[in-house]
Amino acid sequence: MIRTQRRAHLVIWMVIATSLPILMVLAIVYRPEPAIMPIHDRVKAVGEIIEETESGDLKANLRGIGGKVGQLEIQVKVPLQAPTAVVYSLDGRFIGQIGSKGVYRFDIPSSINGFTVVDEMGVQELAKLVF
Amino acid sequence: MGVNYQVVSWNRQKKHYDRVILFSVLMYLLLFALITLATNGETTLETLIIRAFGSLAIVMLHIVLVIGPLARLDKRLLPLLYNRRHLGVTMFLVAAVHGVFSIIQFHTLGNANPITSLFTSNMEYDSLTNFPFQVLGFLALLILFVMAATSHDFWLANLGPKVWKTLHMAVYLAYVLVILHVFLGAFQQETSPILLSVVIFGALLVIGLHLNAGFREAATDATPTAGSSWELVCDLNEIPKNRAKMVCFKEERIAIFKYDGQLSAVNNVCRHQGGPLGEGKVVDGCITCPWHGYQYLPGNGQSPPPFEEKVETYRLKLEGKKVYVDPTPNAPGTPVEPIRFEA
Repeated sequence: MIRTQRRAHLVIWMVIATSLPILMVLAIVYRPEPAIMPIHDRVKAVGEIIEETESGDLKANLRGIGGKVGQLEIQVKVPLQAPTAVVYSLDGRFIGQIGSKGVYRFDIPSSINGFTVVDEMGVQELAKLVF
Repeated sequence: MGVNYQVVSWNRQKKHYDRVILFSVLMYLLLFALITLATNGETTLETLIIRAFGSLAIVMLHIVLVIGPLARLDKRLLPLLYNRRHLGVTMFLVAAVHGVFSIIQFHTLGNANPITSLFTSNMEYDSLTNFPFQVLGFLALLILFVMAATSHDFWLANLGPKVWKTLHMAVYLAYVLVILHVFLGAFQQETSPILLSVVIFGALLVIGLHLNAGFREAATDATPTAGSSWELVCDLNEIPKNRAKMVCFKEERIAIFKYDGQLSAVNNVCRHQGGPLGEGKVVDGCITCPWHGYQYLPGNGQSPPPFEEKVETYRLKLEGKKVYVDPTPNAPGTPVEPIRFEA
C-alpha cells in the first residue's frame, strides 16, 4: 500500500472501532424481549371472545368486555407467502399488518362484520373472513 | 509471479492451499448439518443451507480480514497472505449461496419481484431493531461480488494497483454491513450468549489487529528526516539476513535489503499490487513480494526476464556499522552497485 492508502486504512478502522461496537450494543440492548416471541404476540388479549370465525390458515376472534367489542384477534397458522399482508375491515377501514406465524391483536373502536387480507404489492385479496 | 494472467494464480503451493480450503469448507458444512440435525431435527433443508453457509461465510470473512495484520506481526504467516485471494473468492461463493437461498426462501413465493420484495417487504428503515437487515446482507454481497469478480490480474493490470487496492478496501464496509446484518437479524431472535460472544470476540479481534497494524505503519511513516542528502537509517545489525529494514523519507518508503554480504535499497511498493516489498525476503537472489511473489533484482530493481516490472532504486553508504541512504530515488530499474560488507 502507498502512504495515502495506509492513512485511509487507519482512519477507516478508527471509525469502525468507535461506531460498530456502539451499534452492536444498541442492537442487543433494544432487542425486543423476549426475543424469541414475535412482537405482535405481546399485545395482551382483551376480555373474552365475543365472536369467532375461521377460514383456511386464518382464525379470528372479536374480543371485548361486557359484550362490547374492542379487539380483533387474528391467528396466522401458516406463514403468509405474500410480501405484504394488510388487514382491512369490510367497510374499508385500515386495521393493521400481519405476516409470519403467530397471534396478532389490534384494538378496534367498534365491532366489525368481517375483514379482508390484501397483498398491497400484488394488489390481490388473500383472504376474506366474515363474523 | 507470472508472465501472463493465468500462471500467477496457480502453482503447486496454491493448489495445495485450495485443497485445504475446499476440505475445510466441506468439513464445516458437514459438521454443521450433523449438529443441527442432532439438536433440531425439525429444521428444513432450506433453513439448514441458509444457516450453514451464512455462518461459514462470516467465519471465512473474519479469517480473510485477520490474515493481513497477523502476517505483519508474525512473518511465518506470510504464506497465508500470499494465498489470501483464493480464500476471499471462496468466501464470496459461500456467502452467495446463503444470499440466493435466503432470497428464494423469503422473497420468491409472492407476486412481487424478489429484489423488490427484499427492499420493500419491511419498510422500517427508521427503526434499529426492526431494521430490514436482509438489505444490509444484500449490499454486502454486492460489494463482495465486485471484489471477487475483480480478484484477477486482468483487472489489476487494467485498473492499476492504486485504484484496484482502493476498490478492494471496500471489504471493510462489507464487514460492517455483515456484522450489522447479523446483529439486526439473527441476533434479534437468537438468544444464545455463546454465539453472541463468539461474534463479538471476532469483531474485537479484527478491529484490534487492524488498529495495531495501522498504528505500527503510522509510526514507521513518521520516521524523522533531517533534510540532508544522506540520511542515517540504522545499524547494520538491525537488518535481518535476507530481509529488509523499511524507512520513510519524503512520503516514500524505502526497503533496504541485506543479502549475501551486500546491501541494496529499492522502493517499498511492488508494481504488481502495491504490496510491501520490505516485508518480503530475498529468495534465489531476488527480492520477493510477500503478497503474490513478484520478484525484483536488488541491484537494479528490475524483475528478472521475461518480466518487465521495475521499481526505483536508491544509493546507500556504510560508515562503520551505520547504514545511510540517499532518499532521492533513481529512475525505476536504475542499477546501483550494492554496498559490500564483511559479515
